[in-house]
Amino acid sequence: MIDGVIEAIFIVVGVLFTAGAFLALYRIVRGPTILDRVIASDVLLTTLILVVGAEMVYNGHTRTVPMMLVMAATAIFGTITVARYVSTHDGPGERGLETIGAVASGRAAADHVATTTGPIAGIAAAISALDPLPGDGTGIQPLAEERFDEFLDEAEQVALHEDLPPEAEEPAQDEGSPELGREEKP
Amino acid sequence: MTLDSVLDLVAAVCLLLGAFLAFAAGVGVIRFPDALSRLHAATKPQILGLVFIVVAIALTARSWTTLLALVPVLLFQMLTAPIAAHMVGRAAYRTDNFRRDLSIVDDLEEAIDRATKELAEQAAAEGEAEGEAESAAEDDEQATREAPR
Repeated sequence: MIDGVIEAIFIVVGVLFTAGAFLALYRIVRGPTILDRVIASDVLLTTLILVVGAEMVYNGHTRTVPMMLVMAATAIFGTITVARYVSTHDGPGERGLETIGAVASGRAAADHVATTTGPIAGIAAAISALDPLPGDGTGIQPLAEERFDEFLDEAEQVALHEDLPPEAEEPAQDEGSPELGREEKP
Repeated sequence: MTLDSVLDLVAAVCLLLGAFLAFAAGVGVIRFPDALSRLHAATKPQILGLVFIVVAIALTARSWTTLLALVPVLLFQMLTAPIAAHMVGRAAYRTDNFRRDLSIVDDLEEAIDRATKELAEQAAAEGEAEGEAESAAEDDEQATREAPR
């Protein structure tokens, strides 16, 4: 009897870990700011450490303890690096173009995935229904978009607003700011 | 009902609690409105969730060497997780990536106001004491003062 209970608990554990990882993944793609992505990637990494541990319990071995050790010790590097980089920016008005570009492309990518069909899209759509969308809730997004046009001249503004739909075809890249890349080319 | 099966059950329950914390972090990261509250949700499984999982492993393996190997895992996580959370919270505050209307008290704001005022007074006093020839040096000083921000 007790074995059946434990088996059932393992199934619930697997479902919970999977759901948590998907929710974090959604936040990594969606943003809106790089800090949200870093926090979400931290959640994903923590989930990974916990899953490695849970697998050891399930299969009854201890071979991956060193892996847990290394991940627990190095999880900090990525977070601190990105947080340091964000700190070098000044106030919200001075937020860099790439941040705002990442906001736009991340949202476009998330929306694009959510509107296609397939199992992944179903999950993405379900999660995005949970998400209180920035602009409706946070009060942070509108500020960034207002400032966006100030960084660009008129032609670039037109190009940007026209290019937004094709951008959705691209995979979700954190720093993916096509505007910046184009700007730097001669 | 042997001791072994009871320990296995306790380990499974610990696993369940750890998994629930990971799931709660995911939900919090989706549902919460700003970076600071998301950070709050995200840091729960980092320590407590790991404690639960480590206890579950120790209860299943039941050997001292395994426990000895698990202690540093927890130790490293406990050392590094607060630093990471601190850095992210600091960056969130400085980029204004949080909702002031949701926060009740901002202790840092007073300190920043006081420091800004003191700097302004200091600059004014220096400006009176020294001639205009010094203004270039003062600009330099101000630049270095602002740079570490």
